[in-house]
Amino acid sequence: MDNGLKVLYQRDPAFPLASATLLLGVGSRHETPAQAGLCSMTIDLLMQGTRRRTARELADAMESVGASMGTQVHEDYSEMGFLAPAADLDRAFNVMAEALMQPAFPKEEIIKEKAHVLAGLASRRDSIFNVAYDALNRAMYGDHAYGRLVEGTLKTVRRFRRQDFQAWHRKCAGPGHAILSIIGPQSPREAKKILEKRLGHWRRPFTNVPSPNVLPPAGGRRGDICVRSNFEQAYLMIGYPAPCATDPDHIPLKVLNTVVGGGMSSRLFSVLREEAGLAYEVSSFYPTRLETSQWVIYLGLPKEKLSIASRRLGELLKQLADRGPAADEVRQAKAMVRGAFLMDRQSHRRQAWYQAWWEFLGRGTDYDEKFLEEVDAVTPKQLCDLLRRILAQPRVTVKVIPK
Amino acid sequence: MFEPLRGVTSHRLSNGLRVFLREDRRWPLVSVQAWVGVGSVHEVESEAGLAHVLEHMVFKGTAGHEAVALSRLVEAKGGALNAETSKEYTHYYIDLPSSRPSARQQAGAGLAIHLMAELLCRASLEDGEWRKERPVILEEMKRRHDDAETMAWELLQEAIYADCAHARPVIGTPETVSSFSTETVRRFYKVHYTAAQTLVVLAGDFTSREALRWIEEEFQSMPRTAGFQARPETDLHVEPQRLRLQKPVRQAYAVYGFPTPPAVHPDQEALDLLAVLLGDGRNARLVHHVREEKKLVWSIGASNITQEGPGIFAIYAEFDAAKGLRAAGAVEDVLRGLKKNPPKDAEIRRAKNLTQTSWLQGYETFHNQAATIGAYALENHLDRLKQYLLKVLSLDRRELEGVIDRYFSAGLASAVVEP
Repeated sequence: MDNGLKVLYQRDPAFPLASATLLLGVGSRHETPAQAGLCSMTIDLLMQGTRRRTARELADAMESVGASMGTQVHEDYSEMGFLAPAADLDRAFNVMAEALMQPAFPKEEIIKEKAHVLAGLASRRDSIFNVAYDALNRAMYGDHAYGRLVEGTLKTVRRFRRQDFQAWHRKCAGPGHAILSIIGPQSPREAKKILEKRLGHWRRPFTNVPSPNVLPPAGGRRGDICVRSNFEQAYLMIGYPAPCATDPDHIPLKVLNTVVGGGMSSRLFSVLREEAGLAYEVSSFYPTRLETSQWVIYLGLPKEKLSIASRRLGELLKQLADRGPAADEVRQAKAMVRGAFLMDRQSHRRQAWYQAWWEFLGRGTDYDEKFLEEVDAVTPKQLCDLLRRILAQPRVTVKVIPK
Repeated sequence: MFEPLRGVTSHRLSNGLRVFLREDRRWPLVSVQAWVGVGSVHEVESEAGLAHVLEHMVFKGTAGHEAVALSRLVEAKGGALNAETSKEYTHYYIDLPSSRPSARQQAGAGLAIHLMAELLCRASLEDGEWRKERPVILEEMKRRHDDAETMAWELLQEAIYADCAHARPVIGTPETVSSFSTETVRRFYKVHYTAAQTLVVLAGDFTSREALRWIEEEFQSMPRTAGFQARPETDLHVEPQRLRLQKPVRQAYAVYGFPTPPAVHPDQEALDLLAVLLGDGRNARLVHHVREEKKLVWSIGASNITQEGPGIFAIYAEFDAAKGLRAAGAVEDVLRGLKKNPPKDAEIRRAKNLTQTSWLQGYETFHNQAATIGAYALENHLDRLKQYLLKVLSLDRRELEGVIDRYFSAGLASAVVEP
C-alpha cells in the first residue's frame, strides 16, 4: 500500500472464515536491557483500550460476532492476528486499525497488565522445563535480549510508566516494517477496498525499521550450571550456538535436529529412552532466529541417572559426528520435516502466518515449494560436517537437581 | 452450512469392529485413528495404571515389527504416531502423508492401517521390554507430580468421585505399576483389546473401498470379545469435597467443578454453550468479573468435559495463593449468580458465535476430524455430532435457564495446589 505496508492476500472462496496475521519487525531484540519487556507489554496493551473504546468494548466488537484477536511478541518480531467470520472482515480490520493507531494505554489497564505479567513471570518457576531453559538462555546470551524473557524481568516491568508505552508505540508501530497476510473468501478487490479504508491512513513519521540493540553476539560462552530445585524430577539441558535464519546452514540444521531429536525413532529417543530407559521426556529443538540461534537438547530423568545420561548423550553425539548419519536416517528426517510442514499448513490460520513469515525472512511468497526443495537437497555429508562444527563450539549445560 | 458428517460412511466388520471413513482430498494427508474402549475405570484397584502401561507396551514390538521399526515406518513417510489413555478409553493415532497412488504398503493409509492392526491385535508384550519400560513410566509419573496444573485436575477427580475407579489417576501409583508382571499386561490385553470394543476412523486422502478391504484383512484376526467386564457404576460424593495439596509452587492452581450427566444426555449442548459464555474470551462472565473487575486471578477458563459415565463441568484458575479464598468465593458467586441474573441475549449470541467459529476452525485438520468423529462414535451418538452446531445455535434463554436451574445451584467441589 502507499504507506509502505506490505500486504499478501490469498483467496479461498470455500472457507467461511477470514484469518489475518500482521508481523511487525520489532521485538525484544530492539530493547535495551532496562527496557526488557517493554515491547511485549506495549503490544499487549494495544487491545486494552483506545481513544474511542474501552478494552471491554474492543473485545465486544470481536467476540460478539465470534471473532478473536490476539497478540504475541517474540525476540525478533511481534505479531497481531485475528480469526473472524468472513462477513466480518471489515469489522475486524476496524478494531485492528484502531488498536494500532489510537491506543490509549489507560492507567487501570496498565496496572492490571503489570500484575498479570508479574504473575506469569513467577509461575515460570513452577515448570521444570522453564527453570532449565531460562537458566540456559542467561548463560548462553548474557545481557543480549535472547538471554532473557520476552516478558522482561520483575525489576524492569515494575518500573514501566504510561509514557514508556506511548514512546515505544510511537517508535515501533509503523507500516514501514509491517507485513500483513490475509486468507479469506473475498475477491482481492473487495479485500483491498476494506484495507484501504481501514489501514490506508496508518502512517508514522519515521517508518524506518529501528535497529536492534546489538550486543556482543552470542556464542563463545560456556558454562556448567546447576540449579537446586523442589521438583521430583531432575533435568538435563544442553545448548550450542546455532546458525541464524539467513545462514546457509539453517535448513541443514533443521534436518539434523530431526535426525537427533525428532519423533520416536530419532537417535535421542531410541537410545536414551527405548534402549536405556533413562528418561520419559527427551527431545531437541532449534528456533529460527535473526541472530545467532541455539540448538538445545533436553531430558527429564531421575536424579541418580544424571551422570550416566550425560555420558550417554555425549557418546551419542560424538558417534554421530564421527560416523555421520546414515543415508536412510537423513531421508527419513527430510520426510518428517516435509510431513510436519504439510500437516501444519492444513489450517488457514497457519497458512496466513507462513505467508507473512516467509516475507519477513525475505524469502518471497512462493517460498513454500522452495523450502521443500531446499530440505530435499540436504546431504548426509553436509550434516556430518555441520555437526562437527557445532560440537566444536563451547556449550552450556544446565542440570536441575532436586534438593 | 457446517456438515461434520458429510461423506462419512460407517461399517461393521463380521467380528464386530466398527469403522468410520471420511474421504477428503483437500490435502495429500491421512489420519488413521483407533479407540479401544478400555481405560482406568476398567481396572480393579491393584491394577491401577494397567491400561496406560499397555498403551506404552504395544509400541514395544509386534509380531511383524520390532519396537523402533514401528515408528520408523511411519516417520520415514514423514508422519507421526502416538497414543493417549483416559479413564474410559485408549486412543491411538497415526497422521501421515497419503502417498497415493502406490502399492499398498507404500500408501499412507495402507501402512497406517497395517501398523494400527499390529499394535491392537499382534503386540508382542515381551518380558525384557517391560523391564525397560517400567522406569520410563515411573519417570512419567514424577513429571506429572511436578506439574501443578495436572495435579489440580487429578485432585478434582478425587473431590468429585467417591469410588476409587473414577477418583484415581489414569497413570496409577508407583506401587501398582511396579507390581505388574508381563503376564498381567498380556492378560489385560487379551481381555480388553477386542473387536467389539474397538473402532477405527480414517479421515483424509484415501479410497474408501480399498481402505475398508485393508481394514478387513488386517483386523480379521481380532477376537470379537473375551468376557469384557462392564464398567463399574460411578459413585459421586454426596457432599462436594474441597481438597488442597501443598507443593513448593509460586502461584496457586485451582480447579472447581460439579458433576454432569453422561455424554448422551440432552443437556450437554447447553452446558457446552454455558462454558463458553462463562470462560471463553475477555468478556466471558468469569473472566470479566473475577479477572478484570475483581482482579483475583490472572488466568481463568471453563470447560464442560463429557464422558460415557458422568462428566465434569470445570472452572480452572491460576492466582496468587494469598487470594485463594476470595478467588473461590468469586467463582462461586458468578456461577450462583446465573440464576438470579440469567444470561442476556447478547451474551448468548456471543457464546454461540464463538462456538461456531471454533468448530469451523477446529474441523480444518484431518486429525481433528477423525478425533471428533471417533469421540462421538465411541459414546454411541454420532447423530448428535451431525446436529451439534444446529442445536447449539437454536438454544434459547428458557432452555439455558432450565439447565442453570438443574446444575448451577449445587455445591462446588474444589481442588487447589498451592504453596
